[in-house]
Amino acid sequence: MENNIVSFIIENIFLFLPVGIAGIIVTIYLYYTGKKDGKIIKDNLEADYITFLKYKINIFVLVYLFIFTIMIVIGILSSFYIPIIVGAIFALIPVILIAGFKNNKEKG
Amino acid sequence: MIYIQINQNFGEQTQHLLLFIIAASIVWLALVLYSYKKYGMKKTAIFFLPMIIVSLIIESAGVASGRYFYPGYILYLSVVGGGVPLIIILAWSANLFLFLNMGKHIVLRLYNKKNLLQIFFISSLAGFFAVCLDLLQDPLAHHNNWWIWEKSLTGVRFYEVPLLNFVGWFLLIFFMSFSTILIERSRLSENRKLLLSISSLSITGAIIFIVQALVSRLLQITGLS
Repeated sequence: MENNIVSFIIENIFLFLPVGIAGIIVTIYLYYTGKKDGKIIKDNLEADYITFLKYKINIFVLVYLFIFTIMIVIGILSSFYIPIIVGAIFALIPVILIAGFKNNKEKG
Repeated sequence: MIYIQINQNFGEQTQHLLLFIIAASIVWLALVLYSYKKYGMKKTAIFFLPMIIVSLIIESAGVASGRYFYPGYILYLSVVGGGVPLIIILAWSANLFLFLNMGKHIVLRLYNKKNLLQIFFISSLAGFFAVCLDLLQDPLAHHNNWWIWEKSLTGVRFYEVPLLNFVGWFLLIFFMSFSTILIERSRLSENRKLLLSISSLSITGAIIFIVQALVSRLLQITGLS
């Protein structure tokens, strides 16, 4: 996702423009001709928790922590210490936020 | 222009690429299986397929523009001239599903009303979480040559990674989350939602393109890019 992608698309506008216009027409057709009788399904957040050793763990946080751990391990193996420490501080923000909001809600 | 390429020299120029590929494959597989178990086949396709298509186009254009490239992977796909590893495209789709759901877990606890504002909050948070993880991942990827940024790029960098990369991560996850939730919550049939999720990429793609161009220009004017 860089500045030159924009230039690249403009240079190839005759490729992207017809595809884009066709897509917009099809989208409008599909949206306005479809019957809107489907059910609205409620978001079930509790289904995203698994119980492990009496602890309820959010499956998405678990996956996120898996990625986080792998990155830290690779960072250590690559002797890339300072950027990994700085990056880890930022990368832990989502985990802290989710854990914090869950605890606050349960207390409330 | 459209091609599939198999690289014989796996891991050339790179470090620890195999570990990265294995981890990304596990994450993608785990999230797809979880989505399939919870939502079924059609909804899983709605969550993953549009992002696979849009990331293939954007990444392929990014490589073709010469700003970065991916050395040492096994399987490459291209749609507009630049070869993109299959695992990168799959990882993008896993990113969307992961960050979108993490965003939901916070926003739905704070703001219960099912409206556009809620979708905006979820998408913003998903984009923010994506940038948080990328601040750890992208410098490491550049260091180990999983993807290489052109050295001639000017402007602000975070451990050799251009600022615009993080803007791109936010915009892509934000707009794709927004359109995914919008389609998911519509009252159309599942088949119609699936078709709409593919065709609407032209609208989402155009919006990402315009916003990215405006932000790029703004950063250039301020000297940040």
